[in-house]
Amino acid sequence: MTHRGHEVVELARFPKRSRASSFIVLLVLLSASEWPGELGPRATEAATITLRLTPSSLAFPDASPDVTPLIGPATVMVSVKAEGSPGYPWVLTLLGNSDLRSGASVIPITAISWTSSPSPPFNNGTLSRVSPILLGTGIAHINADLRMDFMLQNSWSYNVGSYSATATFTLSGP
Amino acid sequence: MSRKLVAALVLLAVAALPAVTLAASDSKVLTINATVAARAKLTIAPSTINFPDADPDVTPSIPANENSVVVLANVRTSSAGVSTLTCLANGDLASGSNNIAISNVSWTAAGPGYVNGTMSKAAAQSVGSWTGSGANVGNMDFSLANSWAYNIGSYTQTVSYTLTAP
Repeated sequence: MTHRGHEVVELARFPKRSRASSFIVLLVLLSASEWPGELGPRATEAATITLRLTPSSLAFPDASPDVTPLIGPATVMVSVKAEGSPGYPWVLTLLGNSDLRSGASVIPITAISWTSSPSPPFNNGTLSRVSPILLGTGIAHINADLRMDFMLQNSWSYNVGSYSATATFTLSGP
Repeated sequence: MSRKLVAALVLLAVAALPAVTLAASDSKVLTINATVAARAKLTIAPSTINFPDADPDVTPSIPANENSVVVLANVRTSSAGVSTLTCLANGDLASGSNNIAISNVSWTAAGPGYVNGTMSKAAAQSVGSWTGSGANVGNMDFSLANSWAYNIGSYTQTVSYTLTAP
């Protein structure tokens, strides 16, 4: 009783301005639960995100454009493990970092396309060095092996050379 | 004591605050290689042409029945590589022991890189040339210089076309 009374006394001595400030801080923090965006369902750590490529390189051999208008497929297996939830999906994208280059000669990266399996949730597409292409997204937990069969559009206009480029897969989640 | 109370309030507020969702991501790089080798492919359609009989006074130059002949010279080379298309007659037009000089056959060409010319059995004649890779489409209209000197007969000869890409 004495202790509680002491507390009351101490609270009464607490400066009014400080008490008001604390109350405001409390209200602000409590109202933060309504903020959209980065604040979301209770989670104490980042969700598990795992992305793995096998193999991490692919090669398109030389071929006659008349006989083989599409070179390939060159297959890459992509292991995707991510968690999503309503409003907080996992997202997998692919972005070409440049065109295919051999010295001064260039083959546009858009000459490379792919088919995905399983589809859905994964998408077919064509590489771009301008903007990431959406490979897949979802709000449910995913632990899948994505098969990507890449094809190169063949053309007589390509100059002789050994071309190379890179593309970046990015898997993000809540 | 007052500080304890404030701390308690703050802790209460933090406990009530939905936890901040931490964004996570993983990236992997895929290396893409492609090989393009030198090659050449020549297509001529049709592969046989015929000059009909005609009065030299009325038709001094006889066009081939099949005109225009379509030529497709596809090449892959370096960006500075020059590819060439030539033709060389394997002889004069022959009908038994009668001959018509192959130099009486000439052509006019249309299409980027293609040139007009006259057949020769002695030296390869240029039909076209191109820099860099590409599919080079052209048309050729053949004609035979007519003459009263030609003996009666059904003449024939072959001509070899060669497309070279360095």
